[in-house]
Amino acid sequence: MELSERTGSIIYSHDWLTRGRPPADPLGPPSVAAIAPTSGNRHPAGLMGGHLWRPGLDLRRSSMTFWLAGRADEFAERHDDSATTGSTRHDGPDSRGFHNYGQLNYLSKPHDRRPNDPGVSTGHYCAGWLLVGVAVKVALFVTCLNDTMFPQTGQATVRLLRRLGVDVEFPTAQTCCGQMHVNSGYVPEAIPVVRAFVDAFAGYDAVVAPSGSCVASAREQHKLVAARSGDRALINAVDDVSPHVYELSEFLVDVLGVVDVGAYFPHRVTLHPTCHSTRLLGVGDRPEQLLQAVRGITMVDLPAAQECCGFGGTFSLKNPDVSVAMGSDKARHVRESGAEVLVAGDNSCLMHIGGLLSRERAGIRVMHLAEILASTEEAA
Amino acid sequence: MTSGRPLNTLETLKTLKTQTFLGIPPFPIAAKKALADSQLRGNMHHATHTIRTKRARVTSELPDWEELRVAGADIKDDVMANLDGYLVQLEESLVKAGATVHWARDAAEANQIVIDIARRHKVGEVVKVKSMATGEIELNVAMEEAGISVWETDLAELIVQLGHDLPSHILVPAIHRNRAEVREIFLREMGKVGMPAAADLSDEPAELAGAARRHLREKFLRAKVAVSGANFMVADTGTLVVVESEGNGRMCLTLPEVLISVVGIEKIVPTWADLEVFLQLLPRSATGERMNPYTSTWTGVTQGDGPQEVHVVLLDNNRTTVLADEVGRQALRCIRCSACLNVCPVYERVGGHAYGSIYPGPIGAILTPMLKGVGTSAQIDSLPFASSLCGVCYEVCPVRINIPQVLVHLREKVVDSHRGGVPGTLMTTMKGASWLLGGGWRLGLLQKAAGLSSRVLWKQGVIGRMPRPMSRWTDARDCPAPPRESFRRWWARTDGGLKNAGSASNTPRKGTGQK
Repeated sequence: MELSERTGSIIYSHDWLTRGRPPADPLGPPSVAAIAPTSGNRHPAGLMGGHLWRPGLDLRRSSMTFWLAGRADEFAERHDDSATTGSTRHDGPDSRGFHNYGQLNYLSKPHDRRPNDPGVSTGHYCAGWLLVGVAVKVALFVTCLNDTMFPQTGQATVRLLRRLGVDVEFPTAQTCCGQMHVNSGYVPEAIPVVRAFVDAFAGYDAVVAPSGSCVASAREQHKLVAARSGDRALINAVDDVSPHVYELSEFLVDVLGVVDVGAYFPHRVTLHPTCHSTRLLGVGDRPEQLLQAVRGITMVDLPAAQECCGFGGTFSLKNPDVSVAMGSDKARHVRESGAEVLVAGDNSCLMHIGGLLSRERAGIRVMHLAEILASTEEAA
Repeated sequence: MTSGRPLNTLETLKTLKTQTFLGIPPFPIAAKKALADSQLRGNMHHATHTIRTKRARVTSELPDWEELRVAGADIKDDVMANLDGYLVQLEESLVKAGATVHWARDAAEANQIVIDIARRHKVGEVVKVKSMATGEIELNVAMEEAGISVWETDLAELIVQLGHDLPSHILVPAIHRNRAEVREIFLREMGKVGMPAAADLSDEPAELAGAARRHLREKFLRAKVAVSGANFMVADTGTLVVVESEGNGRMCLTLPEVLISVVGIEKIVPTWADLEVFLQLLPRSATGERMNPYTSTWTGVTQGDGPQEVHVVLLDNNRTTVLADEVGRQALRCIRCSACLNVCPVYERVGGHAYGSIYPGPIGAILTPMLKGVGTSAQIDSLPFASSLCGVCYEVCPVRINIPQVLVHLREKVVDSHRGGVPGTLMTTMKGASWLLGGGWRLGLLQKAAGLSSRVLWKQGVIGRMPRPMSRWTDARDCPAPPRESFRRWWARTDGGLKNAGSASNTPRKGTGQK
């Protein structure tokens, strides 16, 4: 009677439910119904043992949010082994000798790894492809911010990688990851930037960047931008390039398999782990491991280290008051730590915290992780 | 069908006792004011850190917490995927159990349904269980306009109502008040609407709770009609569930003759057994308790026990529009636990009022724009930008709502909704940046200009205070001056440091704390 008519009018007024399955394509994520079967067996989390678990949804792929990453099926193929065993982390080189870490999905992160997970030490993969002697091409993605404002970070990264035997190249066509555009809502404006990125880095076996935030953008946002462009060639190019982009500490620890990079830095240092490195990329304690192995260094704890510094890209300009309120607390914690140097894997956070410390005349330096790791006794 | 309730204007609302969020300025402006309130900052810091710590403790003690989160998300996704079927099933179950089901397309319809039922029973007042859905539709305002008094019975809601205040938290609406302020409100206001507080009331929590208990008791015993929401609706049994801490809900759900529950259509769970997952997720995420003190369930009418007339108002109010958004629909998984609010560094500092909505914090920043429509006001359009995208909300969400992802998605929608017409400053800047970053040589041009500016303007290597719009950065933060030589030029000059590394390399950075 009337009541059911009302249900119908509410639900069917939105034709996405009645149209059936939209194309399974990065240009249009599949409908809910396409991936959520309704009957099933028991779910593993049931403490009382009575709960129904839906089959065909392994723990990583079940999330509706995962579609945004697009191509769930392709992803499953690539990660067939880990998907079937339920293991969320595939540690070890793949058939090409590449470590799979770079293909992990941000969207599945909070489930994959607990917040306090110290990360998996991967030192024993140090065989890597470098020692096997495979000819590999490694590119430096210095990032637009470092290129323009902090060249010393790029220089330190180059010195460090060369010292470790990596013949790093700098494709001069590179510019930016496009994150500023995407995170500010200007996705069409990010298309030329992403296009420049894939053009510059196509064909490299590894792209190393001294920025967790920019790497996260390359891995997770480029496919969104490509999907919005509707350009099949760009979608494919992004698929090819983005899995090869590594944050510096990931590249050192996971790919090169080194923790002691032979650095010397006789100072009191505290580490800001940065939100995007820890929560988007999941680098865990890799920066910490690398720093602990530096000779002469004294590491001190940063209170509330996991808390955001408040930079947030254009957030720092759109909401300057909140941004500064957050940054002041971070700066206070840095002062309380007693460190003389604040280190992080992202110069964007450091520009913000450092700018506050400088205004306060706090007498605390900020340095990028690469700069400390590049320091040696000879240079000092 | 839309009802005849006129659109509220600020003027008509000023005459009411109940406050609304109308007139709250865009987030950056509201936040600035909130940041300056040291009492608020102190209250918020203390409260959020207390709940945050408790939540972390009780969630880390469950070995299968992450699996529970996945299960919670999956169940909700299944409900959303098959909402049409589940809604019909729920309605059948409810009708069979003796309840009356009403369908409300929007706030006005829902309010009218509740008012009509109350009028039919000729009551001048109703008691209320804490409910977000009724807050969303501003039921209290509508009831008051219709001449029916609404008594909030949740302690925090009572504090908000007596203080002519607005809620600032989903779970603890009076989180912005400390106990001294609560005492003052009780002393001043309780006597005006019922049993007054004792004149020698102290600010001890137990005494304050005692005063509220005595004040509310006469309302519980007198009320003929109660209004509630529900945390869950079980489709296969027609059972509604309310999860609470104080027992006021239990009073409202059992004592009055008529019970009206206004529930969002996304609150469905398919089976009774699904509650197993959510009754673990919700209390641990919300209050940091292993189990909440009161869990009430009712299935229609039970002869001679409890309310003999049970109404359920199923509320859409744009939830189906949210459902149509492939990225945004995950927000419908929300079980209103507030874990994202308690960990959010932005919320912690500005409190809930700055979000201008019954749903504050990270979840509010995505839910409000989707429920009310992106592009409808500057205030709503400012919400998706009220986040540094640190991702800690996603980390704690018991149903794995990827809030940062939805925030970025909504930012795109906000910008898209303003395309066309004369481009603003930001659009022009972004388009310019898009061109500059479209090729390496273009970025090189910019860097040359920046390096030149350093030689001329910022010889000390630090950019201090600057006029607008740079003041947004430099008012509180120094900015390093651009280096004279970009990395790109250094690489070209030295072949990546292999020849004639020169003095330009390894120069210490300035203006970022390095002296």
